[in-house]
Amino acid sequence: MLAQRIAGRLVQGAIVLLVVATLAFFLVHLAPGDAMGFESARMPPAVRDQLRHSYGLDRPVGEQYLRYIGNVARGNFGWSVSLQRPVSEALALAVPRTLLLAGLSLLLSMGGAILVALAQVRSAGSLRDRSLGGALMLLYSVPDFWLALVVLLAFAYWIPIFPAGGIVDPVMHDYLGTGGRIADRARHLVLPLLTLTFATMAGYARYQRAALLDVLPLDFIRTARAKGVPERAVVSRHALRNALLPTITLLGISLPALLGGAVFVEAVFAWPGMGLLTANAIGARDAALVTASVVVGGALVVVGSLLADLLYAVVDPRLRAR
Amino acid sequence: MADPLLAVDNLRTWFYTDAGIARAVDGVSFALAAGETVGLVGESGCGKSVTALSLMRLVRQPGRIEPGSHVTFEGRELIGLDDEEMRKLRGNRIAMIFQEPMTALNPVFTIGDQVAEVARIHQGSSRKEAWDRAVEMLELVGIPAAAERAHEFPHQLSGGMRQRVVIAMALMMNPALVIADEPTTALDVTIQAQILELLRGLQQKFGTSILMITHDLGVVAETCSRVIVMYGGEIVEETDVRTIFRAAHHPYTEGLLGAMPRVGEKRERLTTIPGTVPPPTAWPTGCRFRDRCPYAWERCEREHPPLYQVGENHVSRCHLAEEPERRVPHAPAVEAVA
Amino acid sequence: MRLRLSLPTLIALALAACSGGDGKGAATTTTATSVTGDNGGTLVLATGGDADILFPPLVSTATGRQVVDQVYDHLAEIGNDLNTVGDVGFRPRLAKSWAWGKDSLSLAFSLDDRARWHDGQPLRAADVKFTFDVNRDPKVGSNIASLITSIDSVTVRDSLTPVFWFKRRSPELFYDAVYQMHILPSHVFAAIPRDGLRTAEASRKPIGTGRFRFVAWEPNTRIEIVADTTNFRGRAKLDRVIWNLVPDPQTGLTQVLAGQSDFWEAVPADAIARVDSSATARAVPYPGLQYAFLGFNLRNKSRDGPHPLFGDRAVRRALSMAVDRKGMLTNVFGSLGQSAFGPFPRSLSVADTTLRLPAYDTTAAKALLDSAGWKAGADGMRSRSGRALAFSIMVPNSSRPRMSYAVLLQEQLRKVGAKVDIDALQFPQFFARQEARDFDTILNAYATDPSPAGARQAWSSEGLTKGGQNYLSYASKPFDVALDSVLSALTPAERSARAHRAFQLLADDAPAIWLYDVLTVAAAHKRLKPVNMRADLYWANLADWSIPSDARIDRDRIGVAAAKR
Repeated sequence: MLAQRIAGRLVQGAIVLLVVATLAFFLVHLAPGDAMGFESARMPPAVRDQLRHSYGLDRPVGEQYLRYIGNVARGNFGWSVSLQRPVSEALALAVPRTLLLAGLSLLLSMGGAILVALAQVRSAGSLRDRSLGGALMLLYSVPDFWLALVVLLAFAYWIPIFPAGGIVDPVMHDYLGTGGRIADRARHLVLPLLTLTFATMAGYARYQRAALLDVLPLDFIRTARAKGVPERAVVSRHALRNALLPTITLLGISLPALLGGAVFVEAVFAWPGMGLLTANAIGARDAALVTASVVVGGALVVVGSLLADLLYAVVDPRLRAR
Repeated sequence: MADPLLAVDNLRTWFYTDAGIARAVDGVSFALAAGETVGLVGESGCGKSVTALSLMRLVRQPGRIEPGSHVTFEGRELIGLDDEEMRKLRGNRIAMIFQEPMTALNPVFTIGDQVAEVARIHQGSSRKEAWDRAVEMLELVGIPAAAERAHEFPHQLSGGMRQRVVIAMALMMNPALVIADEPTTALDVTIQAQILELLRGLQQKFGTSILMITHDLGVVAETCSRVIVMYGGEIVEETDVRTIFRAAHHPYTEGLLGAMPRVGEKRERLTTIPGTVPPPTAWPTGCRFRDRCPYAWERCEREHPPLYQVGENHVSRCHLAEEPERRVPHAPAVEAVA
Repeated sequence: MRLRLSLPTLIALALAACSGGDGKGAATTTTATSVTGDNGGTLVLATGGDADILFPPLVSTATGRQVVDQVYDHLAEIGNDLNTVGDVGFRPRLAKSWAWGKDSLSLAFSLDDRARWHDGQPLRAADVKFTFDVNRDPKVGSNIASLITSIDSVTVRDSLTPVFWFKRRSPELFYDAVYQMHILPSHVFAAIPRDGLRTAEASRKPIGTGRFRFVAWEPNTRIEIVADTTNFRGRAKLDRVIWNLVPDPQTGLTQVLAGQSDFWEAVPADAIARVDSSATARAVPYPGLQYAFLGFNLRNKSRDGPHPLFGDRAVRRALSMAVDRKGMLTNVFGSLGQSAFGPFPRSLSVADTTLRLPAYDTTAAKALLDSAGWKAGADGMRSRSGRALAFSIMVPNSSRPRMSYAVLLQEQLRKVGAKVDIDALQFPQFFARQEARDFDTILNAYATDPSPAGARQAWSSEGLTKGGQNYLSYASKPFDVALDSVLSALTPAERSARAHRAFQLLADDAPAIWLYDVLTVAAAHKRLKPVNMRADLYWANLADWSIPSDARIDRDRIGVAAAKR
């Protein structure tokens, strides 16, 4: 039963999250220094100790851990020392921003990858195939931080058609009408989206191309041709559906990777999402925030792989529950 | 033959591989009349499957049909025909049934969808029309509860059922010619009989011509009126079914018959043809069968035999046609392979 | 690109443009310091770090400090020359005048009766008393508690007269009373428990008396303040200031060059030419209060005796002579650096460039090391009774200039026979080891206060306690005495003379090699006129920065009307 399977996966997921949260918590505490580590050097040590005490940072680690798990179970992710606000508040702001950027980018790069792979495979071995593949490999090998900077300079400075970072215009956004606001958000989304999409598309395209090439020699493709199916449809209908499975697997694993890898893009384009939040939290040894970020990441892995499983069943009827 | 449905003339399909040029089909000519069922017989490696693919122009790199080959179908020359025109013929006027029913169907589409697709492509039917016609077809080929089962996927069907689906697909557009490439080889005996029965029935009903490709002479006996025997990329014998079983001429055909178990016959052991098929990259000079032939003599090595007329509707590519007294078995050049 | 604005906003803009001056005004605003003409404009500051909190006693980030300095006021404000002796260097702010008690141990301020909080409430002496109590309360944990220890208490003589009572006489009592504390509204904060101030809502939505009022803080994104048009000192010249958070420095600079932001406070040396040649921006150099040095740890690892290498003054002086400070400065900063002569930046009132430092002389350095018993071996490296002259330089990898210095120092010291390792650490680790005094030498940079008293914590015996900041464990009675004498001088001239004596002691003792004092260069939009960039806080006079009306662009024309949300 499908419902049973989903329920089972969710229980599995909860266990995974618990393990992840525990690991994250202890790893952060193992790192030298704590959240009080570098408040202004002028803070008198007495004050620093008192702060440590008020955050419970002077309790034994085990006790801190148990308190933390207890709170999380109740939905309270604790207090972020570095941001001076509840962790859930910080997450509530950052997660949607990252989901927007990472989610859109994932869709675009998957979609783009499939289109490119189809174009390549239709003329496999030709100049078009090889040059498309080469161009993508170039984009893939370039470090995404560098790519982000180049895209920023190219389209926000040398040819200033897009804004240089930010989610919305810091000054004018609130004075625009609804249409203007949507347009403002869209304009700010273009460059980081472009960067992230291109950086990841190449990998997916290669996979997709290889998967397609694996499927094309199979018998049922020959049958399709013998039926008189046009070559275009042979590839994009008959072959593609069968070649999507590895891509869907990639989709399931990619979401969390995209969150983490988007740190550079978020930093360069001043996009205050999960990547930046987590990176800053680690630098500030903000245990509560780091652990929460890791847990959120873990949750997305669980959700991502569940979605991938469901998609498998949609795409390949052989995998549907009996 | 007057006004054949299909006329093949000097068909040569060669594969350009790293190991050399494999001349899989090396000058094959035959014809097929409307409504006829002709068997194309031979061991694996003799070129019969490639011949079938060549007729459909489904041969892929590194193979290609050599210039000088002609295939005329319904009066049109297929070799050199525009790709799009050829596509319009496939599945429409000429259809093919393949050997492996287990893998011949696309696993992610329903069987109804796959059968209906033929009508959608060639007739431009709407989804509903095509679906209904597909269900009809499935009923025709003997799928029980066709309307429900049309929603099922190939992995939910047995091998026999799948082959029926493939046949339904092939016959959707009522093609003039169906090429059946070993349609029953992968099925067990009882199912085999059912499928052949089905094919016979459909052929009678629709008047379709069938080119039955097989290595099994039993199948030929059941379904065909004429037989073409291939060896080494060539036709070595061609005649009607009765004659083949009573008075086969070519030593290879003899061998095939000897290797065939027959009901009512008492023999201690089946004879085998010693040796194996030589690789198509290196056909022997002269007669290609000479290394395995019990009668071969030096002329066979020297001279490549043409197709001799040995009866009214009977040809054979063997020098015995001219020197019948040589039909005396001797030790073959190659040890028998058990 | 033109942006479409709705009709009401257009009208508001038109009105704002017409009015031009400061007056929307209620009863009390015929301002003595009325600002003429040219009001308006929106300034977008690109900043690399978000604020932590907007509550003055607890703010510890640069951005937070910048915002707090606009929204809140001091009783009196220090002048650009940063003179902390007596009260002549200060101008009235919330206090319009003050009077010393006869014994010079009390100070009564007369608050300006026109001063209002941004919520309309009048400023009262009780607010000043409350401010002092909060800053001193250990439950609050204020960063400046240790800086106001000379104040015994604050009392209220009447509703406009707070009185400060001091524990002992000193020339900097006025500075202690006014420089550190921003006056807080007691009617907002009094009801909140002291240990809850850190997390209180009011600490994130400040209500002050400044010429700007707070508008909004979107965490990790932006902070906005707007001119307080009814302010008794006159509204700020700019309509609006927005801090735009840009984590990556390249992006920040690009935003200014592209005209999307107006100010980026620190341009790296290699990018200055680009800023100069830009069509939208220009380079604006300004002084700071930072100095950097290579400090020698004077105690050994177990902290029970002098450091085996650096306990010897001769070694320290020799190593100081081995490095070419000018050369390194030019190498790392080009023309933008100034060499340091001691633990003070040039902008400090007691800065002294006439001090005698160990001169750059590698031959003399080698000779001195020889005579101290450190003989060179075959490989050129020195050792004494089996112990090698080998040590590490601890440096945070977050500071590019100091990382460069580390490499240069390593090379030069090698030439005189010292084997130097570079220990480049992430800042939290660097900080932790600094606190633990776990290092041989440290490449450090301090930002000082305008008052020379700041030197106490780092260089006198007072800072030797576990929580103190004398990380090098430099203990010199003569220096302690000399420094105290500086702080008790009654006139600037006297103070400078005594400072010269004290810092010469340090120069001779060489507990550190004094490296540099940095001139920072900002990138600013060409239309912006930044003025009075004070060395301690370049933003202190932000309310006087302006954008002339003939240079304005789209975002300047919004006016002070509230945002349509």
